Amino acid sequence: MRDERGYWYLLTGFVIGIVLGLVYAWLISPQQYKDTSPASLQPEFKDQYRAMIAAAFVATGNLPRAEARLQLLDDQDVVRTLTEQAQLTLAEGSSPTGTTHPGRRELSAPGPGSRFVGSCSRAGRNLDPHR
Amino acid sequence: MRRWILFFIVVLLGITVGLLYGWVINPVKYVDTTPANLRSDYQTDFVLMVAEAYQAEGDLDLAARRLALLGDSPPAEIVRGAMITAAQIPYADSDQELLSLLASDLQTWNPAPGAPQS
Repeated sequence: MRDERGYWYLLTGFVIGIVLGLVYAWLISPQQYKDTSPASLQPEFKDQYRAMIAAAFVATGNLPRAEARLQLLDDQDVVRTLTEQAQLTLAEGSSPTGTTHPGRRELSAPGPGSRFVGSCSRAGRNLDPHR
Repeated sequence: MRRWILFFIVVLLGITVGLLYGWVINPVKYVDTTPANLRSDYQTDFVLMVAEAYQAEGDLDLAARRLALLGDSPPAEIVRGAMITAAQIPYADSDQELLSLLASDLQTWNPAPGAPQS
């Protein structure tokens, strides 16, 4: 008796294989969930990261280092993002990192004429945040 | 019998193609991650930020709360890990001193109620 089922079973098997492979690759064992960059952080953690950058900047006055750190977050408009976060934080009356220092410019973005500009190397610091 | 062998061969071929697509060509892209998932050099820079702020603020509880963003490990342990990475990169001596100072202070820190345990 001649088998007339053809080769559709091969296509079926191939599709089943692809589905199994994708389920394993995307759901069961996706690429490692570690070694991420600050740009991939949840928005609220990005806010906390920004606040931490600002707190460190207030402490050190190291503007190039703060700018380099802010670039890690991949914000399209850094100044605008900082300003919006500062306004939100002021409206809430607290800092995302838990700091409450009245009058401290913790989240504000310094302009080119900031008193901190020019003081970056006063402590002999390495300006690259990763060195 | 031959049909079954061919069938399982193409299933395996399909799985291979699926894995290649899912892991290499179009892997899962992670967004909305937490600081605990950051690469170690980014985590170390975050710890350095905490140390820089701590130097000016002198608030060890606040420093510990900030370090808690990096995971459940005790704050002192997080800073020690950062010191190792900082020495490997290497960070400037002044930055390593800041980390060392924070680690030293965290050794003797008594957490306030609700603060991360050392």
